[in-house]
Amino acid sequence: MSLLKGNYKVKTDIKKKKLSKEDILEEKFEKAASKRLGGSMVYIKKKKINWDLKD
Amino acid sequence: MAKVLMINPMVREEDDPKHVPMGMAQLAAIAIKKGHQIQIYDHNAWRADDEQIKEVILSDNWDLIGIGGITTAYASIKKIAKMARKILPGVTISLGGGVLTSLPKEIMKWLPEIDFGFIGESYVTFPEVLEMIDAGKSDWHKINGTISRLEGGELYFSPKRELIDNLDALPYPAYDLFPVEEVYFKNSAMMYSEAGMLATRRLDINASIGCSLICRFCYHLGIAGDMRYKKDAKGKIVNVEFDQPKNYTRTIRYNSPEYVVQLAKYVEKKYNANYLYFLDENLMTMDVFSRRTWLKEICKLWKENDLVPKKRKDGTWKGLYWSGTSHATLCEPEILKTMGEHGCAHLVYGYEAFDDRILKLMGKGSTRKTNIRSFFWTLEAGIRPIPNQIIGFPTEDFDSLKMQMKAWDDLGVMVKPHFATPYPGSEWFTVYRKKIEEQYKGQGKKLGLSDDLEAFILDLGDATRVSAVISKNFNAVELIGLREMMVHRQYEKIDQYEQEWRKKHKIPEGQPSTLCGQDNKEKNLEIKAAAK
Ligand code: B12
Repeated sequence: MSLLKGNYKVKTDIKKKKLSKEDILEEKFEKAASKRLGGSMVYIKKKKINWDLKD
Repeated sequence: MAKVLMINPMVREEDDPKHVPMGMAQLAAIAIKKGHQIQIYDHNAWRADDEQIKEVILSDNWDLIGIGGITTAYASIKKIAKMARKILPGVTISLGGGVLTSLPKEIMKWLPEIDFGFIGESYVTFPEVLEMIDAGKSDWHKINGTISRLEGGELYFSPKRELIDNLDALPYPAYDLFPVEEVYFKNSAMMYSEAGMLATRRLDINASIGCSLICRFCYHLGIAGDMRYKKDAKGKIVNVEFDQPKNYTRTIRYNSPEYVVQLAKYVEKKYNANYLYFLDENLMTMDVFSRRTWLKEICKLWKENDLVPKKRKDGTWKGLYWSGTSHATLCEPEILKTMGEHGCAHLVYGYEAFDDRILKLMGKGSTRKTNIRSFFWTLEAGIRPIPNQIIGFPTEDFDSLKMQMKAWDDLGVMVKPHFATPYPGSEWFTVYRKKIEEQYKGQGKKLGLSDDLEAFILDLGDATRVSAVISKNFNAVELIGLREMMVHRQYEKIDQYEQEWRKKHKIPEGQPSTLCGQDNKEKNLEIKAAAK
């Protein structure tokens, strides 16, 4: 899937980066879960574990 | 031949991309027709990461990078313009669309990366710029409808670009240059009707430009005759102006029914589309202007061209369902019925409120009565009316909020209203600009921006989120709380809060719940005006 579309061919064709199966699943899950937020419905982002809460 | 990279910035990040940017699609078609080399990176559709945006920018030797979009795309535009300038220091970068048009001087100040801007309609300006590139020149200031930087850095407005007369002269939008199959068709569904929900191959068209009404919150992108050029005593253009109290201008233009239906037929055939969304600001304005012939003729030709949807056994259909925007006072039962019979599935109505006092001040030309009447006419015609609702009008009070809730109950409307938002280009923005800047005081500096107004622009998104408040009676916290209770129909809780509010503002029971004007003079005048 080329990110650029035009009336001629560009020198370098840039394809949309393919997400891994897990990434696609995570994206899908985030979207579905975010739609239901409220009360006990919470969505947690999977970030790095950060014990001392420093970036 | 000029080599151009057009970039559609990201808008409404929280939702899936649903609309091919029409202006850009038309401009690309015009440029291609003139023989130029065009590539489009639709960032709103792809939403690729920064690494990939870099690759896109580096993928060819561009004569011009053209970015454009609506005001709420500003954050994305800013990011892309900065990236492009960093990666390609010598490339010419331009910006067009509603975002630049409403605040040309400010945007050029905030984004030094932009070499020049397209103000308003660009059907002629854009190809003229490409012609200039072909001639090896970069005298953007010599092209009408631009804002550019002179040698000393001074901003320069070239003369106003006049609007084209004949919209039928426009080539069909270059849908092919957008990821229609890869992205847009997947997001075809429009949750406003059964047909909309089942749409699998929806595309948009735009069949008219303009709106005859003067809603105080609305902006018409400077392409609807709504923009005027302001000159100083010496005749030098110093800025652009939009709706202002007692100063409104409009130009109404529409495609011929033949053009509209031929385009619909082309979309159906070429893309195997099954749904068409009319982006037009207000289809009924055009119907009134054409003395009630336009929509009728479109429906007639829809049928003659075999576009009226025919259901198949499996629930799919042949033909095109369609939808668009109507108006409470300008619509009539007869035309609605015809539209319903020809595949119109939903019509958006900007009812906004149900209190005549509020409606009158809004300039919408509608009343509670016409709102309710059009709602039932539309339902009767077999079309779903989709009412937009707003709270937080300048003189909104407890009475008007309760009237709104009552109407939702009466009509069976489930809605989460927008907050009244002064988008640039609207009369509200012009009138309340100082008030807006006050609300963002210090934010510019804090966020490392040029000024506080830029902070406001960056904060703008969907009006379902609160940004600058223009209500005289309620602050942001109150509006959010009241909306929540309205949505859940908590009448008692609102009554309770009204008591607290009255105590706080020393307004006894029985008097209008408003802080507008001493002795409620302002409100009484409004009531009188509405009664007239
Ligand atoms: C489709 C649409 C959207 C799409 C986005 C489209 C997109 N990809 O940008 C969606 C659904 C996301 C959207 C959302 C909103 N929208 Co809207 N939307 C429209 C709509 C219906 C059609 C736009 C259009 O195609 N116009 C017709 C074409 C021909 O005009 P155009 O694109 O501006 O192009 C011309 C010029 O501007 C210029 N141009 C444009 N791009 C470029 C690029 C380059 C390189 C150049 C040179 C020139 C150029 O040249 C073109 C030809 O003259 C308009 C109403 C209308 N009919 O215009 C409202 C409109 C643009 N939206 C509006 C509003 C208020 C909103 C919302 C804020 C509503 C809300 N309350 O939530 C939200 C914002 C949400 C968010 N979080 O950002 C306002 C104005 C917004 C503004 N200040 O810029 C409009 C005008 C409606 C109105 N009258 O109130 N919207």
